Amino acid sequence: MTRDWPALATRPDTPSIVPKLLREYGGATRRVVEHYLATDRPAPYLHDLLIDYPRRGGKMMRPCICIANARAFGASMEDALQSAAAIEILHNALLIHDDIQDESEVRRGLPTLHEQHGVPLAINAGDAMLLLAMRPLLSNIRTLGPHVAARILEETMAMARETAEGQALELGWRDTNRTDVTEADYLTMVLKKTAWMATIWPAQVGLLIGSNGMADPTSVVRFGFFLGAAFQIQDDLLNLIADRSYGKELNGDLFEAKRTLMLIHARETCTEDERTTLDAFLKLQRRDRSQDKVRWLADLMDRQGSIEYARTVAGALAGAAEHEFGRAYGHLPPSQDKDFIAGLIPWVFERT
Amino acid sequence: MTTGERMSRPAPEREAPNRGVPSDPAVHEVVAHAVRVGYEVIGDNIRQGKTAADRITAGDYAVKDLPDELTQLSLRLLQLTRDMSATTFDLIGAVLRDPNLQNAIKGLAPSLTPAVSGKPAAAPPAAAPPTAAVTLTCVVRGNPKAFGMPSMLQHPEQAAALSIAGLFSPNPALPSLKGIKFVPAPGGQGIAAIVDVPDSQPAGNYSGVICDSATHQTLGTLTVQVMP
Amino acid sequence: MTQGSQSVQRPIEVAVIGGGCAGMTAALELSHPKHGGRFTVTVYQEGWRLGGKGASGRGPSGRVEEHGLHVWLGFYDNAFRMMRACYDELAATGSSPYGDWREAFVPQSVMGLFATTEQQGWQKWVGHFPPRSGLPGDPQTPGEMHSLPRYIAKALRLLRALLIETDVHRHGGTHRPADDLRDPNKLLAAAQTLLGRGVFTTAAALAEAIGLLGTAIGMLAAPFDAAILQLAGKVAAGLRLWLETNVLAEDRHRHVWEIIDLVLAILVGTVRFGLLTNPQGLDAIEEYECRDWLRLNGASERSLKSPFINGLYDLALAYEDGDRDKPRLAAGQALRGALRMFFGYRGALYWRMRSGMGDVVFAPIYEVLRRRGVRFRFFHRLTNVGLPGKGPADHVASLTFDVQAETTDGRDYVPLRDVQGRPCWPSRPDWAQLTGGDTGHDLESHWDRHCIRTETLHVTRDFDFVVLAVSVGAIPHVGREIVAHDPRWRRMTENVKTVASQAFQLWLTEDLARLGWPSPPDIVSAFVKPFDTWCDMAHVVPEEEWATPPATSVYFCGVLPDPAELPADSDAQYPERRRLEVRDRAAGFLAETARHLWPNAYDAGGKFRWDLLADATGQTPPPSGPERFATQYWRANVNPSDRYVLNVPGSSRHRISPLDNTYDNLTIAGDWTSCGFNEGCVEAAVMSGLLAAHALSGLPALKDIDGYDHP
Repeated sequence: MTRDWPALATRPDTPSIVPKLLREYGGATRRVVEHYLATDRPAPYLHDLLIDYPRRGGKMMRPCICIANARAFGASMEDALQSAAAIEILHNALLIHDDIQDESEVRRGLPTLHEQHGVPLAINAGDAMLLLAMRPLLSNIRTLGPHVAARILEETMAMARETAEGQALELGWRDTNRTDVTEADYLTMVLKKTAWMATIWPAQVGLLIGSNGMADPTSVVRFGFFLGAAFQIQDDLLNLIADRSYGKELNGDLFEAKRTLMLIHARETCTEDERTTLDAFLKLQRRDRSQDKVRWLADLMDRQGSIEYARTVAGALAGAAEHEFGRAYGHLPPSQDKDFIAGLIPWVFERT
Repeated sequence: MTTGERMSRPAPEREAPNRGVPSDPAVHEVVAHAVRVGYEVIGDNIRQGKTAADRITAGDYAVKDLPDELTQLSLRLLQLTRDMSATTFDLIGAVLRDPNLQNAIKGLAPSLTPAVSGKPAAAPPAAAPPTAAVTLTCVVRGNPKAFGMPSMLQHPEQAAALSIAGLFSPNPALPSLKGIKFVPAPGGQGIAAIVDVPDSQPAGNYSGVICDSATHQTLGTLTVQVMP
Repeated sequence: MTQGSQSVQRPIEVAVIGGGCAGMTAALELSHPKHGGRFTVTVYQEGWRLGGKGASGRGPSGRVEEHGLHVWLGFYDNAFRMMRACYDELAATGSSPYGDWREAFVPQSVMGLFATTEQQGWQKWVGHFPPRSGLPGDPQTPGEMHSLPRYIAKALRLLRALLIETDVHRHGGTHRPADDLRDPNKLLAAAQTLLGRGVFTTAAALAEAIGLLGTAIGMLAAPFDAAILQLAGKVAAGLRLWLETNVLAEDRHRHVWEIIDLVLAILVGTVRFGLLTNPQGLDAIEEYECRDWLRLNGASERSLKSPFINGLYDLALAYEDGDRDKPRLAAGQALRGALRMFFGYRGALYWRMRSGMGDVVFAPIYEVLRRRGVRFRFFHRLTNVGLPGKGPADHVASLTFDVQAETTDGRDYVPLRDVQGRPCWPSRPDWAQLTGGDTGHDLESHWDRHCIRTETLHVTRDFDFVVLAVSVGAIPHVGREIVAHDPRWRRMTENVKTVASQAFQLWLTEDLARLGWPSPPDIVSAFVKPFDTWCDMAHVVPEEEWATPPATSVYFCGVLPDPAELPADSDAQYPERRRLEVRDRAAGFLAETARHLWPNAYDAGGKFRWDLLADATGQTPPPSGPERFATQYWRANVNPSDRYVLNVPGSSRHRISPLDNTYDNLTIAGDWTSCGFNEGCVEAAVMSGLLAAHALSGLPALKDIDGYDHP
């Protein structure tokens, strides 16, 4: 009964402008990031940690969204570089904290910062980066004028509120062992925890820079949300599928009973008995979740077609993103930056 | 003039235009549902945001009235940064306050006082008063005769990076223990101190003060005992 | 038994009856080399010329004399494709007198409409339609298929653009000349003034709302319908309020608001009637009268009386019985036609022909067909399509014709004569080729039954397949047996309505600019009845053979009301009576009504300057005063086959498709058939001809008939 949703249509390939600008804008941003993270005199235990994650590379999606938006709305790359750097620094700061929180061991192919230096120094570095990220945003007052800078800070604060709420939401589910998380709950969490910071805010900052503070930053919220949501679901899918090559029972997300769309779908579509078993599994401590139980959950998802379901949803949200792209950017003159922004939608599905 | 059998037309494949639109297939229910939920979520959020913005602009948080006031901006920016930092720590705290985790820790260390259960983590982070204490476990590596003593760790008033200079013996002649790391405790929740104790470490009690590295606020102590 | 069986080696004999657009399209398709000579085609045509309702002739001084006023709209892809192929095929011979098709069709981007206003009488509205990429008849861009959401998206973009542009122009342009705003400072000041008034904000909010509506409609999912409808309704209400409070009745932008109002009604209706997903497409509202349907969806009375709607009806001659009080247009096809007209054109909105339609369209078609070996039997008037006397009535057994004339030497009649170096159709038969010379008979009159003998063709002996491409008005007369035998055919003849039309042409010694008409536009509709539509045809004059060429010519047309009682077939004088009626009305139009158009055509005493009319007959001295009108050209299109085909609400379902296989050796063709675009026009006729060819040969594939599979 559950397998009758449409197969994914063949997606258009990512336009070549996407990797090109990711390299170009990403490279320019990295230089500015280095500049801001370089303390006047290299502080022991701090400087190396600050610059560690940024130097490991990364997709640079966030700062590039910012620059492309700024350019699409009429500014130059230089106008947006400081803010792009702030976005990237903030992102890395939260990565440090996330890694600690999630006990991740590896980030971008190397041991996580707290694995290398311990939690206190890592937390310290993350906090420092949070503060440092504010510096370029304050510099905007001088370079972009107080009005635009203030609008950017406004949106930054809104982003901070949303992100904090999103993190609280997810941890709250874990804390209280909520088993009845719905798809809407999930999307709310994604909106707040991921999309706001990853896609919405960078686009808003770029829009404000490009339009000299005149355009309405809410106009890109929907686009950013759908793009970010497709991004997150795809991320969860990649985690689930990538880990399978090492055996279902080794899957981290499953072990943690992370509330992914696949889990929610499997729970909503399974039988009463299966749901009872599943809820019991969710209530267990991580260490009590045996490999057999994890394998059972993986099999349940297979039976219910939950992975295909999540793929379909990701595709649907990408479609909505395309639609919202037209609304948010349709009036702008054609440009490679506009193409880049549109090209992020297929790109979400192509990254590995 | 022709002669021959009467001929008839080929059978028509159809007799009417196809008015339905093949390029726009009916939207599948899964897709429609996902998009609908997506729009509801984002719609709700935007509506709430507008309400909040209305309230803020109506009150003394009238951002747009004072966009150029640098002092104001800077103050709020600092507040923001603190919020974000505090948030992160709050969340870690929330993890640490997980009652199951604490029970588990209690099982390991029955002598401990029960932890005060934290308030639900889903509350707005800025409003969460960081008053609860969290448990600190101590993991000793290396010397099989060394044991860590679990203890309580105060929740800092604001974002904090834990720091400890080292563990010292009351006897200043004995070497101190350095390189102590703090990690989330095994099992996904809790904080553990990891202390490397060399086999050559003389017997005795070694302890140190755990501080907030920024404010130097004392948050707790850590003690390791090396048996003779 | 079938044509595909092994025993059949001989070519298949096809009788195409009627040489109008539909019949000629079928002939072109079936005689095409791609069939390798599988079909042998013979065209049977009454009188001396091809063209049907599109026929034209050359009169005195080689002047072009048309049935009416023909333009080709920029979305007539099938029709243009056919003509381009003909011109190319002739050009390939190396000695084509016709030239390139782009010389034969002249792009036009400006159209004028008239509206009555209480204070100012007739008010002109001029629409400029920017050229679009491509040319009509180009292959369709892949992916650019016909879909309602696409149209809706385009309509919404148009709405937003109209809203924003008009608003800025309205408020920015009233106080100062528009070019002042090129100065950025002044533009800024104007923008600030707007903001101060709070008007721009509202318009922007509305523009935003329209954008939202676009989103909503793009969603398409059933659960959204109610919400979309609500939103569309709210946007419509907001815009209408805006319209009422901000745009005065006499505002020069009122027509923009009328368009907005109409587009909104269409949007609301599209959602309310579920048209986006309805498998019937726009046919789902084919039973509704167009104005009623728009009204049902909230269009204001003012918009329903606007020049656009009037023009829509006028251009489609959509008045039942020719009665101006009975405008009747099926909503589905009206919407389909309007969407394709405004959003589907390529190159230009519409194209005029350089010369007479007969000369630009039917002469080259005739040449191509002759070269391919198609035979023409002129002076053959069909009188009966015979069903088998016994056995099942499942095929056509015989075709009976009145033969109106024969050539003196028994050879094929040569129908064309050269004018200005190009082969043209004369307005009268070339009696010199015909036995008995000029008999004085009108060989195109339904009421003149002159015939020298009858001729009956029999199936298998004389023909295998029949393409019945006469017009629907003639069906009751030529298809009596089928109509009597087959209730579907009877219902079709009863329900598919036609209307008589009237037309006149003037040749003027002064051009319209001197007469006080600033052009463009060159074509104008929604003017006073009955000659509501007219066109400046100055470009045709050089194609004619005047001793002293006039400065311009102007063509007028409109519907012609039927008498309460239709004349008997024996009433030989009926056409002439109607012609005299048209003449008097046209002369009256010049004496009075044309004053609104050409003020300088009237002398100081307010009398029409009859000496402006150029006399093609070269009489000395030419008639003076109102008598001078007799030197011009006018006609009453009252013959059944000349009557324009309407699409009145509820009639579409009574149409029969060329694909219908009830009679296994017969197909029908004409803009009266169920051809996918059920509206009286060249494109519909060509589509029906393609369908007829498909019915007999399997080609062209249905998917290659552009716009057949259209919502």
